[in-house]
Amino acid sequence: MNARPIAHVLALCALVSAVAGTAHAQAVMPPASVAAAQAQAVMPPASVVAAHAQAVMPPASGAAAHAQAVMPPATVAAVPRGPWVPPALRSPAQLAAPTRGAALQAQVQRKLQADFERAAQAGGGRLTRAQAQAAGLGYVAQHFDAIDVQHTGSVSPSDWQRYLQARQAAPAR
Amino acid sequence: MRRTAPPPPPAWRARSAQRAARAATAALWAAALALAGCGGGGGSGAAPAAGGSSFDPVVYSAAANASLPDASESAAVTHHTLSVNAQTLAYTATAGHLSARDPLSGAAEASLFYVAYTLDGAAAGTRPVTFFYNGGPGSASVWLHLGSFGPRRLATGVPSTSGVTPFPLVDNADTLLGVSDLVFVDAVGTGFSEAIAPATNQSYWGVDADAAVFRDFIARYAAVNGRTASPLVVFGESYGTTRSAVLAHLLVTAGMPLKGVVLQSSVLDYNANCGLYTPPAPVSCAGYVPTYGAAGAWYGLDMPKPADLPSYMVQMRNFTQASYAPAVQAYLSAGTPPAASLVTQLAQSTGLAAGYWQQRFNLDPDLYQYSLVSGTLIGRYDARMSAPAGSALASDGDPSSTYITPSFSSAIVSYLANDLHYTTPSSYVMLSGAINTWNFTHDGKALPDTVPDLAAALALAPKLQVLSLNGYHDLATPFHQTELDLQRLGTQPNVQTRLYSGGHMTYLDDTSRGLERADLAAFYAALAP
Repeated sequence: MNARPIAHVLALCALVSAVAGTAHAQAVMPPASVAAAQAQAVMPPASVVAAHAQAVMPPASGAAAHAQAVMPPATVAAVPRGPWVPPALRSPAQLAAPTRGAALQAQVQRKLQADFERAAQAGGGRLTRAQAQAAGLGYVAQHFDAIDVQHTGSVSPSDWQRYLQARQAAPAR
Repeated sequence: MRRTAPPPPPAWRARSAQRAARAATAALWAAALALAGCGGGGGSGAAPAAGGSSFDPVVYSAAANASLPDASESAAVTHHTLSVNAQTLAYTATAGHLSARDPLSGAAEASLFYVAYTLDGAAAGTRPVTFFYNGGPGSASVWLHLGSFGPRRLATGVPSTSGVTPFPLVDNADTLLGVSDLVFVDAVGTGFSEAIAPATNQSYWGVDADAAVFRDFIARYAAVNGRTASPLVVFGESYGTTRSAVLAHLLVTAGMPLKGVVLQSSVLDYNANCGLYTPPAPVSCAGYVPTYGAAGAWYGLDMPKPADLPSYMVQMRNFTQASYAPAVQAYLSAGTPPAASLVTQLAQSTGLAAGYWQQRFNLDPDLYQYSLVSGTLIGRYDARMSAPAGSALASDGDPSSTYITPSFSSAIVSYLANDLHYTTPSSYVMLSGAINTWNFTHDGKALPDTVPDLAAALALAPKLQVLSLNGYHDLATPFHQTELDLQRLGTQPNVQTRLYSGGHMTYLDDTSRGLERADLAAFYAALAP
């Protein structure tokens, strides 16, 4: 049974009373035991997103034109806040070993090369400056002249690879 | 002792029934909001309801299969001033939605809720704009928004756990608004952010899809606000750092002007953080040992008592690298038991009794948290904050998180409504169940290693400034593990690390926030044009 509508109806009733001029002490619903709602042993039924009864009633204001706006309470799901991984991933068969040095550089080159080839598929593998821009490779469009060393008007995967390797060899700019 | 996982989410009702139920609830709240009205200052970008408040009637859902049929890009705009250091900053707050769009097709992907703070009278075209987001995944960005460097913050008093609650919302003397415009963005399925059909929230609950939608949101924000030439900075925390590494590569590849990456409490490589896995951990916990030393020092359990924390952390790093790490590798690969002298050293330098080190030589942070102080649970996010076992503060497994959550939950709702004049019948989703179905695969691996993504961004943009910020007392994303992760990049003069007393949300500590602010000022000053 979702508690949210009940909390909302209660909020609405109290609000209507306040507007009608009845003095209400600023009733704050008991701070949800946020802890209890988050505890793994107590799962809110039927909803991953649990409602927290933290509605703050607007103070009755006769003279002031400025009534406090009332919003629904924020919700906090019954999961730990992270970083963490879900149960299915908590006993991995294998974790990837960290790469560094030449192995990491090779990974980077492969990654950047794949970006280009993925974008260039439609155009038969080559990209003009405009095609690079349209394909989302703004970097290639902006550095086009440096990549298109042969000034053919379009760059190939090899042009890109050569450009990347040259940068890797002399990264300072 | 280990937290048990929640059961899997139940089957969802049909979409139409869901929307009908939400619409009914929304009708109640719409009536309440119309009655309440909200007088007073500031213009409004959304349709004003009675009394002048800006009312967004859309009902947002964090359900995995939810999507908006379409989305408008409305916002509530208000004007404020902030006095800091004898200066008055006049700024504009914009709270609302923008639609991230597919860069190739232009199709709308998701409607993301954001709150932007822009300094009035500044040259917007060239002023940096910083995008902030928390992690989870599945967490709204409320923690950075109301806890770190925005114009207003909650005065938490941490590491105390006996302060006045709910925390008061105060003007933030440490705001970064003086050096950058600030945009706090809620990920899809958090806050009031939701996917747009035909995509569902689940479509963006994955390492790659999530980073891509953030790239597309940033592009949309820049296009709509005339900021396409403004230097971009991304500021992520926790899983937000995982996102930032992937996002940095995407932004640079797209030719967007990313100039800086701030990594707050990083988990750059999920394969390397032993605390994520069911004990006995399948990977070395060496990255945690200096943090154990810091926590032990806090509780006066280290022997001899350290004179000062930074020097002690140098000692602990050296000890970890020279002695503990190799011994753990031998233990994990060949079952080699540790030498008695090493166990003694560990007990003395971390304050955790030798018996635990003998029982579980590759010692995971959960065991440390529960065992360091008898009858006491120390915090995971901030080990300095503790509570008696069985107490309310301890009941969720992390007193440092349980203590602050209610204040942030209530503050964001009242702040949005009463200060920023953004009201909606929707509930602000602080934390969603996205993590239960999150797609963690990346670059062919089951769990993300995003160091290559950061390396790729640096390969294309060698002047990119990267600032890593960590608390010494963080048992979720231990600072030394982040140092080890970043060391894989090799010599990178533009990648710097700064450390402070404090936990995962280092900025909640008044002293540490001030020190972070100073280091961030230097970072912004160093951004390449």
